[in-house]
Amino acid sequence: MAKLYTPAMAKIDKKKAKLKGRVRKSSPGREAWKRLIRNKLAVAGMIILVILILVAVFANFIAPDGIDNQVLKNRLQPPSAAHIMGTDQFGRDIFSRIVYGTRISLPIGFVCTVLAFAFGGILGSVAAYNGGKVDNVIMRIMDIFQSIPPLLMAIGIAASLGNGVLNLVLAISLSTTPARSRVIRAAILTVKRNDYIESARAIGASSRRQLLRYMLPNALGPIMTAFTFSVATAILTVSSMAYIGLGIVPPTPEWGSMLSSSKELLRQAPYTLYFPGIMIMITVLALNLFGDGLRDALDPRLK
Amino acid sequence: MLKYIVKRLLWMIPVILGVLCIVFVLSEITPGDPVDTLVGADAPPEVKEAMREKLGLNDPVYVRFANYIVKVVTKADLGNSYTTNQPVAKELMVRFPITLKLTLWSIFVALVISIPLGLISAVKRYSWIDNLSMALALFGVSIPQFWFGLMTMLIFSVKLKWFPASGIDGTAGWVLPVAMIGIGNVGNFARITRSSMLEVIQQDYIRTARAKGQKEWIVIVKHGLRNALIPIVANVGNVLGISLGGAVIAETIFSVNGVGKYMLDAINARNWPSVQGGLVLLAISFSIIMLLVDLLYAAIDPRLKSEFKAKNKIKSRRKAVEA
Amino acid sequence: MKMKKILAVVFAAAILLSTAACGQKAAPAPSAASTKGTQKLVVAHKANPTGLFHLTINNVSANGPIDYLIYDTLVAYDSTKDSFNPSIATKWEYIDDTHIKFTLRNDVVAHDGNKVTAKDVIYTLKTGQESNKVANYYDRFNLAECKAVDDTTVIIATKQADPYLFYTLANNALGIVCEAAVKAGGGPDAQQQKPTAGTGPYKFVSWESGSKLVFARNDKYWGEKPYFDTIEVRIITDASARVMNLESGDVDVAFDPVVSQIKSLDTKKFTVENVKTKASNIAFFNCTKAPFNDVKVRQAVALALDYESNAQVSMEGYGYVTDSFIPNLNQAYAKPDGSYTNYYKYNVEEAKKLLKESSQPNGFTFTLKYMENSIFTSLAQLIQNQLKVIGITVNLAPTASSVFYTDASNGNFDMYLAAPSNPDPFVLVNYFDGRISMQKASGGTGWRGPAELDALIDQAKVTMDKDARNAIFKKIQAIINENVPCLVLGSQNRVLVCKSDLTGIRYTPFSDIDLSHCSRK
Repeated sequence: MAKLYTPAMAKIDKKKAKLKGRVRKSSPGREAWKRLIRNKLAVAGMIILVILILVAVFANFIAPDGIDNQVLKNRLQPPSAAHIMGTDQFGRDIFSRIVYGTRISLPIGFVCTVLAFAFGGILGSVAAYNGGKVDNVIMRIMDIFQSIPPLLMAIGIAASLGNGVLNLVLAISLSTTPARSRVIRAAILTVKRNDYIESARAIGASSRRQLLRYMLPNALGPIMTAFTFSVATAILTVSSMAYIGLGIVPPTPEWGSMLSSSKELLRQAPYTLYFPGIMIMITVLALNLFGDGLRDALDPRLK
Repeated sequence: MLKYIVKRLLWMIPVILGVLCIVFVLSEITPGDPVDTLVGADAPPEVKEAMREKLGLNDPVYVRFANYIVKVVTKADLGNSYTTNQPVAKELMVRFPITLKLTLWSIFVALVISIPLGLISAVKRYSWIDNLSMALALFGVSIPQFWFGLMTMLIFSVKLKWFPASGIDGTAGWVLPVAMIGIGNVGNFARITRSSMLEVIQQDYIRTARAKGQKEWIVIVKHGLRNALIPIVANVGNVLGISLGGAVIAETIFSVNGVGKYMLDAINARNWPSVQGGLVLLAISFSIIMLLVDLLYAAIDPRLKSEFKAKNKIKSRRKAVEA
Repeated sequence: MKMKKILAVVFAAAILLSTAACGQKAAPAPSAASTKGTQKLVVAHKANPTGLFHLTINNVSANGPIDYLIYDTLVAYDSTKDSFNPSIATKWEYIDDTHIKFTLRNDVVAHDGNKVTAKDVIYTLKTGQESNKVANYYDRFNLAECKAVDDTTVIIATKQADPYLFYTLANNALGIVCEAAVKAGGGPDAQQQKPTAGTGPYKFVSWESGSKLVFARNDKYWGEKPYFDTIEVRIITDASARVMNLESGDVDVAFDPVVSQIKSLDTKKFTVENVKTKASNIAFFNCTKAPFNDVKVRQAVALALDYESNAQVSMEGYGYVTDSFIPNLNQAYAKPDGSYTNYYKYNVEEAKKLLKESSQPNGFTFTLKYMENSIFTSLAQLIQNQLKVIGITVNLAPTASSVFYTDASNGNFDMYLAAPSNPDPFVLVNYFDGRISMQKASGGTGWRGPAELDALIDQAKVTMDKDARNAIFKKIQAIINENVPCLVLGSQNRVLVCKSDLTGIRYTPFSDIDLSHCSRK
């Protein structure tokens, strides 16, 4: 049976709030937050993400070694006290590379998504706000782009731009832009139908103001959820691209390319594959758990 | 209804033109000369030049575009592959059924696993069983695909020898590639099932059904799941469209001779006729799948059906007035 | 439940449809292990051939192992002795430096039953030269003077004296085809898909493009009866997957395995076949622009590399260290004897000193281009790391093959990695011949050597006597090695892994693999 937010629980929450010394009116944001932290999986995801971000910030204090410190006589050592994740084919400490990798893999996933949402956001919100012909033209063009599978699109763009982090980010964000523009358009359309926009229009708010002040903030819930999921997808896409040989150039310790460059050591030194793979998995899992929690918490229909 | 279908089919023409535009723009800005891979890099310059002339690569991009369109429209000819000199259409027709079969099976398997998972999750919301099944489902979404593929090959082909490591001659050969593509979808479908089920459970008709004293599982499956499936249908269509060209990695690892791998090789070799032909095929199948999904959608969702009819009525009325 | 039924029906229909579409092949896979009596060989190859008629084909070098099953060459290469044995030609003699008379077997028939005579040899040369697609193999022949004397005697003429002609003759690009069979089989284009004009030990049966090729024993083969009833070549692009296919028993032979993966193989069940080659991994400098137009910079870079470790790490012991631009096992190789300074040795202090004296005393940054494979990726990272020590920053640029070759021949690079596989030392020398380097040699360094070098090269090209030629090569190597237009990064062995019971694997002059005479112990 679905657990409902019972009056008894509301009482407890109020008591907790009282203990803190003040009773706030429960705003939608606070309600959502409460629902979010009651979801154990979402909290677990959040904790993992916070830890990863901390690791990224303090990477130079955590990592015992540099990212490209080749010691050829220490090649391919299994995990030991000196190298807790072992060493790779150049005698580099895998743990250090994994730690520094948080500074690469997380931001890449994040930036890809930010860009996709920025491009998609402009297109989607313009389409949704103007409606009619503008909407039709923009969305039909998006249709065309979307009829090319995104991975192939990303491969095609990456092939035309060449290797490198920046090009990879562009390829992934451009290939996902149409899908993101749809998310934003849908979110804004839902909000647009609501009454408060009507009232804003009635009091004569300018169209730009309407869009920025009222529509976007209210559309934020579904967008935030979609954002979390697409960071996860972007990280996985980076690793797929690395497998194909497009994207990050060595010796950058991006997890996907670490994984892909050790695929040949699968038999000889499987630990070189385990750790980057596990890190990608944990990160993506955490993002997904958090995103799921966020969606449940923000969806008013699931209260 | 028929009018709607015809309209949607006609819309495929601008989609195909648009896709071709994208490919021609990409081919124009992509560095690299297909001729080098064709005649070998160490061929004399005059040989390369002759080849370039023969393939029409010296023409400006709009001339090539126009020539291509004319050839496709008048002769239904997608051109010949640069690398094998075989008709692209013929090469694609060998590979497309394989990819289609692979994708359909993986979606089917994913549905069979994910719908029960999502259902249990929704019914026992926030319980340990919900957490466990969601974590399991998400596990599949979170694994880097090629890693999963290589690991399963290592375990099930090399160590246990249950399934062949390559080739799809027998049924056993399909198992690992299907699993590799399917595992990512399990998570997606399970989550959608769960959230749409959660929404449905709170609807009045479920309460009514419960109030009527029907058994709980009948309420859940018959009244609940039936309505909860609608968003899944939409998603299946979407995933199908994406996977048709997106099974690149599974096809590469397990040596499945599919469209994805074909496209990847073509992009790498700057084999533009194959890229063009392949993307046109994928765009057409994507459009058809989307149309089918929308029709299915209308067929199974009573609300949409009535809306659809109402719209048509209004339209026909308007037309009558205009006339 | 109506809707669920609809869903189920749609799904079932779709799956059935697609199953029906590929249903013809749904029979259980015959395993690699042969049943009693019939012998089957399954091979894992990395790339789908571009076609099966080598005379009018795109990129012939990728198809070696497949071509050798279908086609015979005039002469066969013995890789252990670096010499040539009879094949279709039983004996040969030089009439003069540019004319060779070959005597052919009289019992050679093509797969479709047509007899192969001296005229077919001429037809092969003519078709190859006219198609222009395999020009670097066929351009050397002087067709006007090639002629069939009678059915079993043919004279082959070259445009100029050609000391390394036989390496080319034994190559898959020179496989002999039967003119009558080509015509009967629909001409060259039809032959690309269904070759019938070959005379090799195995006949073409079927080709599922991108997936597999099947060959069957040629019962009319002129030589010893071919061992296998069928040979199946599977296309498996992923290198790790190829070896795992071998371990799982799906295939008998895996070409081009990843060397690091070989060490974990069970040595009782599997054999690692590896032969040393006469070609090496080379990093080409772009000598036409700064910083590498300065010889001191190039010498400093050469001294900064740890050649022993690099060979060990990149090739895992399946290769050897080289100390001249002509690899040590090539017959033209001359050991550096102290008559000139050899920079291909590890000496960081000397490297730092030289760099200080050069035009780049404070170090610099450059881009290293390479095509991605496990050896180049390793080498690139090792070079990057070792040059960091002397203050040079290297940016790595893995490049797609289609871009790579264009960049290499247009001089659009600072340094690039390549492994020219041709054992003909002139192919290597061309890269350092300032008159043709880059554009005409499709790569190279743009380095302009002294006039004396040009004269030596011209002289060596027409010197048929081996010792006299090698004496010239010794001088050429002294000049080129001292000027360091390239880095020599070791010669990598040609490796394949197979089931232990397989024997008779041959290697071609270009270190390609020839399975046509292979059998089980």
